[in-house]
Amino acid sequence: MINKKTLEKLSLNMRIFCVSKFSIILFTVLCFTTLVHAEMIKLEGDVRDAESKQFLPGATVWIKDLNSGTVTDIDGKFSLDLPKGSYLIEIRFVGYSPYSRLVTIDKPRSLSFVILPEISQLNEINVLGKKAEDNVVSKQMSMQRLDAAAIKRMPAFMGEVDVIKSIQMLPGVSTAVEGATGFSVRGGTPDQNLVLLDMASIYNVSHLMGFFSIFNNDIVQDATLYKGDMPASVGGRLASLLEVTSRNGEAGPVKGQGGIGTIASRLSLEGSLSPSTTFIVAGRRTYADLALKFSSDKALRESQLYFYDLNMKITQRINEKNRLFLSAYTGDDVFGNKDGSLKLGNTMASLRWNHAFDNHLRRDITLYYTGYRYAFGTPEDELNPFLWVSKIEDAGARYDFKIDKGAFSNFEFGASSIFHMFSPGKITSSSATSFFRNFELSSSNALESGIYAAWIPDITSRLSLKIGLRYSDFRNVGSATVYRFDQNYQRTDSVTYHKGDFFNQYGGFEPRIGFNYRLTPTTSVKGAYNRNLQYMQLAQNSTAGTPFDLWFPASPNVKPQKADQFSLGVFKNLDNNTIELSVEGYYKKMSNTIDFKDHAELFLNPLLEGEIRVGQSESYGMEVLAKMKRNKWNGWLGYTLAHSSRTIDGINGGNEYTSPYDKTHQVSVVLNYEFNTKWSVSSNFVFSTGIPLTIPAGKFDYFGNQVPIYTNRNAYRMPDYHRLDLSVTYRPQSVRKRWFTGEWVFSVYNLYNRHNAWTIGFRQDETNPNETYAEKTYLFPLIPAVTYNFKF
Amino acid sequence: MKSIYLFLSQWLFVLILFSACTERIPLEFGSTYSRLCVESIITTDTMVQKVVLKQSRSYDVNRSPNALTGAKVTINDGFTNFLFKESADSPGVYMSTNEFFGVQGRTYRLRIENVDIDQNGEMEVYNASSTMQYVMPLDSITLFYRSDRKYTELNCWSQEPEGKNWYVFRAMKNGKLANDTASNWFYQKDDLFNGHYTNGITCQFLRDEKANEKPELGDNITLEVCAVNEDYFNFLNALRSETRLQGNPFGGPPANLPTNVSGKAVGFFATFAISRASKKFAGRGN
Repeated sequence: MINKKTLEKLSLNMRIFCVSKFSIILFTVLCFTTLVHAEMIKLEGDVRDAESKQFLPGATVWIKDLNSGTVTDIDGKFSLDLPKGSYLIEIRFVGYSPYSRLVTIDKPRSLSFVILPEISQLNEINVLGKKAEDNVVSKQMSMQRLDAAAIKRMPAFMGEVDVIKSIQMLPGVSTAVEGATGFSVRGGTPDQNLVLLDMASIYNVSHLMGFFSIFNNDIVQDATLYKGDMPASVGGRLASLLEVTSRNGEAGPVKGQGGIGTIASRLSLEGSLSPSTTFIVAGRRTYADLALKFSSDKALRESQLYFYDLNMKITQRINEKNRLFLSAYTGDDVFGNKDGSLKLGNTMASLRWNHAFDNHLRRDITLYYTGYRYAFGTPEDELNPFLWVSKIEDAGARYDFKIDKGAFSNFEFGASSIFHMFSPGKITSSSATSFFRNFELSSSNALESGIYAAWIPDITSRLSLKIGLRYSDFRNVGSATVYRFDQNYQRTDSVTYHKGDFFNQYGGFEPRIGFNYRLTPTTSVKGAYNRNLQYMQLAQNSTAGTPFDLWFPASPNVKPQKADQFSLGVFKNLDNNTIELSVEGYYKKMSNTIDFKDHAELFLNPLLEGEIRVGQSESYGMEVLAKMKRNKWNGWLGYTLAHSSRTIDGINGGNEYTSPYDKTHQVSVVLNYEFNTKWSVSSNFVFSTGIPLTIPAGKFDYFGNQVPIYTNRNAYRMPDYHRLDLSVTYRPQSVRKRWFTGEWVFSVYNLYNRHNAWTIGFRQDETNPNETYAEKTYLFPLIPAVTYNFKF
Repeated sequence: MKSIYLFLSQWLFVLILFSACTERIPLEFGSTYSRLCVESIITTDTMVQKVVLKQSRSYDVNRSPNALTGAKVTINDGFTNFLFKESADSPGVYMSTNEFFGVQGRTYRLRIENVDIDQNGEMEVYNASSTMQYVMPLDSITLFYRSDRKYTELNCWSQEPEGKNWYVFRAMKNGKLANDTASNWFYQKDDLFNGHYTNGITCQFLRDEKANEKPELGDNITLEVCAVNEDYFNFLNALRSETRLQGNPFGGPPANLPTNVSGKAVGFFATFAISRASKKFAGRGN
């Protein structure tokens, strides 16, 4: 009689027997190597899940230097005979992040490896930033990953640790104005960044007009920024992909963490709901408005001013092969007083089903919803009440396959589809006698789909390739009203499409190609070519952006934007991979670049598409990054040399002008030093050339106003920007065992109180109306903050 | 009009300017050639109407602009050519007779000759035209003092006509414009209330902090509703962006104002069809 254990062993043997021909050859090499080396030393060990601590049968244990390895048995154990020496041992298992470790074999050893469930949901070619030598061996370039711990170490504005602010410290990333969460990658506009939270787009990442982002760091696992060299599995934006993944709740009894900060407090709880189910919930809220309740002013007491975030994630391990991830977020900004109220925020939910067919083939099916909306209105008992709502919603599905058989047999393929629903603006009044009439900008829909395939082979021990191709398809779907314009952008007529009508289609191939040639084990050269198409954009012509900026789709009047990016870089690791160096150069050419005519009306304008002007743009630059991961020292030094420009008919006389986010030089230094378990100190320093500025050359009088006359757009620059932030973390060590641990974070933003220009305006003197002058507005002087973080 | 946009702009700035500081900074301004500047509004009032011509100057020149004298200025209403003569007392101010008035529905064409602003020896000719719109009559206005904000609201009661219309709203105190700076005028188009009764919507404010605006008991307060054309509405919109809101990072990039004057001139030749309603200020107790 065959029992269950025997069957499992048989199954495992069959799996081992069925490994590819290539693996058999490798095993032969291993055996040959074993024969020719007389002195062999035994290495034994096991591989376990970091969360559940369960042993993992079938995990690959790979000795990279010998190009050989084995798989763990049914009990998650392995055994290898190795020649004496030091080896980089890599552990791989479908559904888990690869893990590698340098091991010295000079005597028989027994090792236990713990690996993390794969947090990336994008079928990345390699999960990067995890392996020590990743900077050199990964096929991916123009990418950086920051984990929650690294983000937390950085000094934070008003003590609020922020993913987006951390990303802005990386080379190639810049901000238009101080404090904004909108960011520009390699000269692109903020709407050319795709921001995903657990696979769902976030259309507005800002709180409080951009000074904070919606990402509560307690829920963030990590953030990965792809600066144009995106995986074939993702598309829809030209400049970058920022993938934020939330944490899976840690298995075990319920634990919590939180913080009490200067402007907000937060709390998260996590644990197991059952042996196979974990959860995490997290919340954050500001409390400026609570202080208003104590005001003597009645109007202030009745005011509302806060934002909040709520996150939740449930991870369900159905069995060894199937796992479910349910993630959800909602958050709002609320401003209100007796005259009116404004509420704006995002809501998202995603459900991913991860299925491992065997050790090498994995499939993910993801369904998600995301939406951004705002509502602005007056009280209903007003004489002329109104309510104005605007929203954009997506319902999406993805189907992703990943085959990871090593060397020649790494493949990814899949498909995705998103149904976009645009409701740009609707104003209604609850009173029949109201002055306001009902008003609605035409709603519309669009279906954005893509299929992709990528082959990521190791051609030789030195040369790896990444050959990906994506085809994207975009269709406008009724009901919708489309206005037609003549060559002078004047409306001629309109066409109305019924519900469900597909009335316009765009599509195109998007190659995603790259190589990695390893010059030495610690040095490599990488190159990549990418094409990206973008079918949606923000109606935004301000540098800071506002929460009222509308997303609008490609249409019969608006062609998709296109970018071709070429990049080349040298990557080197030093001192046993504790120092990572990289130098990357890039050139990006974009067509159908969108800008807006002078003094465009982007607000509640049914003829918005008539305000668009289209042309070409390009950007090029060099990015240097030196990362350090030592015992006590952590951080990086980044330098960017860049230029980006646009040439658009109808703007600046049709002449080339500097892009609004262009900064020639940018330096960022992020350093963290751990003195001991009690004390650590962190600092950020940033320097950048001022952003482009348009300065008046002349002026004329018009009914009491001195009106500027401009000659060239963005021909000048704001003063250089620089700032130093510092934070000190103190972790009290209690002799008595307490039920919680805590830490104090004292931080100072803008330590030397530089008055960096937020904006420069041109003003008319009140006493002498003929006198005009330049006026700098600066926002943040030295700002201290204290946060207390706790865990229990 | 308490336009939604103004309301939202206020929202945006209230938080940010709370902690903002400003300081004058030295900047090297560029220079540019001199342009003809036209400042003229023809109204439906019977009065001396004016066309004011000046020259633009470099941004860092802090003296009065030079008047443009010696030009030949005519306005044609489709029937008659009116010669506007230069004032003997005010150089650069060209005036009609005191019987001139604009007629709703007529197109007025301005022609400026005998000008050599670029001083190249060749005389230039500038043209502009504007069609006088139709204005709604005002039934009445009401005044409401907001003690929390320390201003008096001028609320408008009138039937707004069907069709696209654009308006400028100005307040007068005892027959004089309370604020004659163009960037402070209120302007609105009717897409959110087309054809509706205005139902007491607020169209202007008189602020206590400004001496020329602050109403006193018994003052005759007038609301002036001026129908303008779309081009002028766009001009005022841009004017506000480039003056009061200049440098606002939530606004669009700086750009030159549009104009309806030909050549390389700046400014605007506008027509206002005006209706008014008045009320005595009865004090701040509402």
